[in-house]
Amino acid sequence: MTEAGFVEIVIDGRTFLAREGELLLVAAREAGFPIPSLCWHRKLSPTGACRLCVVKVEGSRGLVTSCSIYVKAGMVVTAFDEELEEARKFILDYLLSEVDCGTDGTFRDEFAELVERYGLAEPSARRFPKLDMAEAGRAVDSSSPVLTFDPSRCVKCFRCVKACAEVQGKGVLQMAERGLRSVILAGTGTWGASECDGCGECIQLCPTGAIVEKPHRGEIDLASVEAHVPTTCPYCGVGCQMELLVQDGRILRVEGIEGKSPNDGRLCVKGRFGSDFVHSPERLMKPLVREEGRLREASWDEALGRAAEGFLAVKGKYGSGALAGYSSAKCTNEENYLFQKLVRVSFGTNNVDYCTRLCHASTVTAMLKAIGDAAGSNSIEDFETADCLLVIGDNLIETHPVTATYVKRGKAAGSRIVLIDPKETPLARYADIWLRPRLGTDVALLNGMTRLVIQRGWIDRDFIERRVHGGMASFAQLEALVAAYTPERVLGITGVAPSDLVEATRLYATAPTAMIATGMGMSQQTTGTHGVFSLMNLMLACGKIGKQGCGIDPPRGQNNVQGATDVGASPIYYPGYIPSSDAVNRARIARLWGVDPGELSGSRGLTTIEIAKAAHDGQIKGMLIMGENPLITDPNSAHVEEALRSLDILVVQDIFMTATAALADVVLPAASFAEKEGSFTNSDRRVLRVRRAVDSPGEAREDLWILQELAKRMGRPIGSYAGASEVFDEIAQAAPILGGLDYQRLGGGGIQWPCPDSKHPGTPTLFLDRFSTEDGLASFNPVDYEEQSELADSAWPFVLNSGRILYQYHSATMSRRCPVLVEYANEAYVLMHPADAARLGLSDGERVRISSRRSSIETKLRCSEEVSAGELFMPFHFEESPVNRLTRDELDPHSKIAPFKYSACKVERA
Amino acid sequence: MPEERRIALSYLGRVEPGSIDDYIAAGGYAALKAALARQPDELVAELSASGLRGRGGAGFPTGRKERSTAQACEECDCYVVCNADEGEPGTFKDRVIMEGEPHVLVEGMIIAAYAIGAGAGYIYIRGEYSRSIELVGKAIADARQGGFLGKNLLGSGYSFDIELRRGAGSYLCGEELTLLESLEGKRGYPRIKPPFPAEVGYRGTPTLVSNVETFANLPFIAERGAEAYLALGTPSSPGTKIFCLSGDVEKPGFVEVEFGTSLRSLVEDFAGGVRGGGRPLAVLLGGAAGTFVPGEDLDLPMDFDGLRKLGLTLGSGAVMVLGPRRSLSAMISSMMDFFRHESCGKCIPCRVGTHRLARAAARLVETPKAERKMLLGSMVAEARLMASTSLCPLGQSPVLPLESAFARLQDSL
Repeated sequence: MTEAGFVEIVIDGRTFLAREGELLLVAAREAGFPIPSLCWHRKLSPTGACRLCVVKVEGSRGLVTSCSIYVKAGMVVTAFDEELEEARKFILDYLLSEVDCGTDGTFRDEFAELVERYGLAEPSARRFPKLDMAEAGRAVDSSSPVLTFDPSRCVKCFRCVKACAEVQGKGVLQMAERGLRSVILAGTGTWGASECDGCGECIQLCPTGAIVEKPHRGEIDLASVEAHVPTTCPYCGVGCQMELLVQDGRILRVEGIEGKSPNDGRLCVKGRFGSDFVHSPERLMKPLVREEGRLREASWDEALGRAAEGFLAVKGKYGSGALAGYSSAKCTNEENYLFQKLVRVSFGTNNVDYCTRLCHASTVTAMLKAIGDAAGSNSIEDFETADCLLVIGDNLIETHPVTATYVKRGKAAGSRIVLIDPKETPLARYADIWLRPRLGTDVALLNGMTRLVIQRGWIDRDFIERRVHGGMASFAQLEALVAAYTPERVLGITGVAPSDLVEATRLYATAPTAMIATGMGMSQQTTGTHGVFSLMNLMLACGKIGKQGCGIDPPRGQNNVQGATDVGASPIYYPGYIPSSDAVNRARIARLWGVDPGELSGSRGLTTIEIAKAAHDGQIKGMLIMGENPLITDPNSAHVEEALRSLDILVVQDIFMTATAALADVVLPAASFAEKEGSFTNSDRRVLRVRRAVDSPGEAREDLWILQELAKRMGRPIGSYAGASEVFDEIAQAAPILGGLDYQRLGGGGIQWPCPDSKHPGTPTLFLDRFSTEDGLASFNPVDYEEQSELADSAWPFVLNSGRILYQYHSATMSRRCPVLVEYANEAYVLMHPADAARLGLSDGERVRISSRRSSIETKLRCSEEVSAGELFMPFHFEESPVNRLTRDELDPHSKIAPFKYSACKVERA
Repeated sequence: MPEERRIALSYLGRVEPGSIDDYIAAGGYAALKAALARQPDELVAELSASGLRGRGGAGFPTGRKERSTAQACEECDCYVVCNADEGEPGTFKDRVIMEGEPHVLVEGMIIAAYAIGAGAGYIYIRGEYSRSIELVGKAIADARQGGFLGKNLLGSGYSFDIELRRGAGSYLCGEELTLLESLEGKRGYPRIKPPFPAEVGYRGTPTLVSNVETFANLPFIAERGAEAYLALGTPSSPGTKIFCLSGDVEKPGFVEVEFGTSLRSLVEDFAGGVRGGGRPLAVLLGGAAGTFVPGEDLDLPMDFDGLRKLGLTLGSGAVMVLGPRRSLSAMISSMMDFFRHESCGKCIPCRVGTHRLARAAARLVETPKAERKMLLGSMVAEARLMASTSLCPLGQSPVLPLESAFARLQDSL
């Protein structure tokens, strides 16, 4: 008897079990037969170009490549004999006549390794003289910011071409010319002028020195690299697993970790080339305290003392409610956990929030109400396998580039993409249909789609009966509400043609499996919660959740947005989404924390923008900010600045002197992601380890240490931990969804919560049996379309949208200190439709002044049809053109999110 | 003198190529009607029984291909593709069919498609064949107009249509898997074989890929039956073959004769013998991917297996005669240049090997006569390694002419 799926095969006389259908090359190598190859890579389709993996298979004529045939029961194979080794040596010898080999220590050369193995290292051992490659000769291409391409070392294995096309879905690379003149071509000429966006997948998969990473090439020597530290990317919420290569105490290279979820070795340009900020000379290296209006260096003792005194003074004078904290989506679970513990125990308030309030708060509010959980319901892999993907208000390719690779691979395999976005994003060209509604009209559009689903009979009646509270009776209310959203009315409100509306609805509603990705375009509106409600109504009516391959994922913008709320950095929730009002839980937590239950406040705390407003109104007097830069990222930032300046005490923990830190009374230098142990939780609820790779510069210390010390000095200690692992163990006790996790389990790879006990394997897909609501059922939440409260008019004729670009990140404190990212994009701009520009007599590249009712800023004009006429777009990364001076702090009443995507503006020549 | 026997070319000269009415009046599309009256599996059996072998060069039994395609696609879409990218040097038979009787090709394709249950077909046609493109395009349009193509053709309940696609001048795209890549809009690189097109072909689905001449034989078999076909030719190569006679002959051209006709008869009777008289130095069979026969060995029966036993190839049916004053070395050199030019460069052995062989062949011309044999010998050895390790038929081809020249024509170098 053999294990299921395994069959007996024979290689070189040895009989063993191999997985049926496995590539012969893989099975043979696993069994210890080191068949050589240059063109095969586990992530790519077989190419058969290098021919080195040839074997003999009984019953097949001649030599066959083991990278292209699959294990079958009874297969009899010769992997090594004189003829085969002679053939391999002949091929290598041939290749040597064409291509140079050998490494300068900055890359691994698999070709040179094989040349050595086959005894061809000495030129005298070679049979074939060097070919005169003058006619095929091409110069080294150094035009890319991230790599150099040396055609004289290219073995034409196609790994880069396929890395770009099959793995990343970009297709920038191809082979040009033919025969001996074949050469890798980026775009139609040089790398620098091509559409290459610098993800570096080709670098990672190149087996030789043809494509080598450019940054730090003068410094790195692979033999001298002292550590390969596996960790989690500090940028967006995908949670890519990567390895930091450390030499002389510095990170000189970053590589994706092959075979590990969620990224399987893939990275984007930020992940691979965005770690230089760690070693920036601008890092904060000493604590600073304000004296006579200026910040001066101080000892840790003095700085922490000042901070504690300041908070205690506020607490004494105004009470706990006058203190507040901004925790951080950039920090680890452990740090966020201790931060909320400090705010709850040492400050004595629930006034703790962070930037999630500015991104997905409305999504969270709507999802919690409708399905009882606000995290992504599915795994990142489902973006590839679902039959249809509905992307709404999410510039996925730029903001979540590695998630986008799954989307593009799915598309290549036949999945359909429905895109809804007022702005043209790079995903538009992959979409089967792209709906382009006017800004702020999502509710009308989605209600119109739901009406069509009903009218065409695409609803999932069985699902509604079984899994929605109130069943068809509840559905009748939705039906009554959406009846008014006829295609004609939707056209009038949104500008979307009825035929397009029908096609988009059909693709989503009739696909066997379908996923939704919803982003900031949906959430950052005063009607954000209603937008997501209307989206969820559509999804529930179609029954596209609660089964494999169906669901909704709001990709998280920052590395640990998910985790920070999971562990309780929330004015509403204790760790594990247990409401702060839950007295039983508070008592349990009080026991865990060793405090009197009466000391823990049960009232709802203030949210991010409420805190800023309360500070402005003089009700908040002291604030602790960990790793956030609200002065740049919060709406109506002139107002935020006034608020922060009015505080009695502002303490900022950060790694750089941000605009916010510059206003602080005490600035505490913190450790970056590469200098500490911990964990991040990504968009699909995967808890992933972060590991220390280098020492912190100067006197910078880990936030964990800072928080413990601060609490101690406030006389309300929050515990004493030997390390992040111990903090995590406490988190597991506090948050039942993480109950089964510890660092030992996480060492093997990320695990998706809920994971209630140590035997539980984690949960890739939520809601398969029940929703997380009290009765286990989902709910419809019919909502009507409402007009924006601030509309464009003759004085403010444009609507301004804001968002991110691929190469910069958030307030750019990290990304703008990475030379590669700066080389790609370092300039603020506003996008305007060419027709509008022509009407105003403005031309591309001019300086313009953009004004809203709040304030006015200057930037450069870019004319582009990426925006519709009457609409504008600005990235928010650049502090010299701070778009949030223009945005409103009028909040969505349900989620308290601000409308970053909609501000009435005017534009004039600067 | 043997008789010409026209099967594939049965309508040639009897019909106006641009006229479907002519074709129908001459008996055209009667075979299709006969085919549609039968069950598809019956038809596959009939075609298999006929022993028809592919006319593109490899001589693979067509019926076996059809059977495996039909079996592989019981539950899916499958395709019929006509390889009309006639690029083998010295070969022009497909052009004769397409320019003289294009409806035979269309009819043959419909019969094949019906037999295997294909819903769509493509003709991948050599881009330089402008007249063929025009006439085949018209034939498809007229056939559609006449109800022979399209939905529910001839009221049979069966639907099938053909689309014409132009090649862009790559020899390699005449190789069936490369052709399919090109047909899918990709660069013309060869795919790894297996899988064969009958399992994984156009757009990943089972596909029957056959040559123009092969399809042109199907109406005869469908109408007259396998027996009638088997009565022609030899047991291992039934039927007839169009040979393309070129080179130093009095009457270059084409001729369709039964398999088994002797090479001597082709050269002397049908091509009128060597131009200017005398015995040929050699005859190249099958084009660049073919083999040399010495001028004194012309008494060979021309069929697939007979020639194969002698280490020779029938190939596409090209018969190129080298007159007594020709230089074999120059001929080899020009052939090796051809392979170098056409190598796509995907796999190492062919990319480097075709280049090195072309260089060596150029030296062959300049080298003193006494050393040529040794040089050719080393070329053969290298070409053998190339052939055993190359990805596609292109890299496996140079060894054929080199080996045959080395084995039989050393003294003519």
